[in-house]
Amino acid sequence: METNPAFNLNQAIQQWRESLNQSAVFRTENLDELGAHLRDSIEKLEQNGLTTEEAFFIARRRLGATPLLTEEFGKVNSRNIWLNRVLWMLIGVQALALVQSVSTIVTVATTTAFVQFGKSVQTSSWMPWLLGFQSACVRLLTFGFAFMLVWRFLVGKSKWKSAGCNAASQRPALMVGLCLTALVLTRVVSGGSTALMARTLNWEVFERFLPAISYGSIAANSAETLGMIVVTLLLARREILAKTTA
Amino acid sequence: MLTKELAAASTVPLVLSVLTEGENYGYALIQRVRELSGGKIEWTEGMLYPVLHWMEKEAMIESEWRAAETGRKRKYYRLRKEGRKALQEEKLRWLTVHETMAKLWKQTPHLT
Repeated sequence: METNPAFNLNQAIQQWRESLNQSAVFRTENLDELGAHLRDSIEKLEQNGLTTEEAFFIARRRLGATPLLTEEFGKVNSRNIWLNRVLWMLIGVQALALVQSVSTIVTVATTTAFVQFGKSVQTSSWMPWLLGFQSACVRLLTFGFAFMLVWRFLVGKSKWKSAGCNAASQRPALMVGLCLTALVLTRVVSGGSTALMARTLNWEVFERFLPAISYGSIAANSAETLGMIVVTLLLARREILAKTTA
Repeated sequence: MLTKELAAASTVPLVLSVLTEGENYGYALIQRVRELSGGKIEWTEGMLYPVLHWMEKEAMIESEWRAAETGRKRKYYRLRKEGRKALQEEKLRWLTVHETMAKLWKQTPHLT
């Protein structure tokens, strides 16, 4: 057999490790142990006259196919799978809170601008309703937009996916840290903007707008909840279909 | 060749028995079983590790990472008291099966 000079054993083992690491069931120690086994096995096969590349493929085959290993390690490391799920839930909760903070900031800012502007057209009776409508629209639009961005980052199919998913699966601590920082930052900005509004707002004018803003807020809340229900159902449908076809 | 079920059932007693010879690491354990069985017992090698980890959880064995002479790190497994006890029970079971079959097949059992 001719040898392939381009074959790099360390690189091949690293790639094999990464393919196993896609699943949460393997702890780093498990991969170290399997890797040590692979190297022992390769060494032995090389002594029997195989090239490094041939030895690698045979040793990997003897070790077992990835789905089989994933299943068997999953039985022992079920705690790992649950920790991973909890991590994703936490990331989800934080991402949602982040989306809501962003949409609150934008809504408060535009509503304040509108109320200040509204001072000059106090006479018109449709003004409060326009304000309520716009605040609901702004909130829904920003919520939708921010949700799309976060969604694409976490589960999208473009290169965004590699950014979000890989970061989360390989560096969970970094991911959670980023989420928390973003969350705290937006909460501070959102709290600050509300306080700013409270201090600068002309309350007599705002009072007239309050009912319309509340209705707008109720409408936006309902639409948001409805949207989340639809997304959940769509995801559940995909899961159920995947289960029944598998 | 062993059937899937028999291979699964015999893994724990085989591992315990090999470890009575002294501590060992996964790859060498598999080699030892292959050698003793004349190549008739072939495991899917990676499947041994979840079994070893389960046995460790059950306190039958304990493990330790150590560097070999070559400098490469390996995880060594060693028998514990609980493991020796489990092996005694396994021995009784397997000998019972073996003796019964040997009598039915009119052969003298050779296992000690």
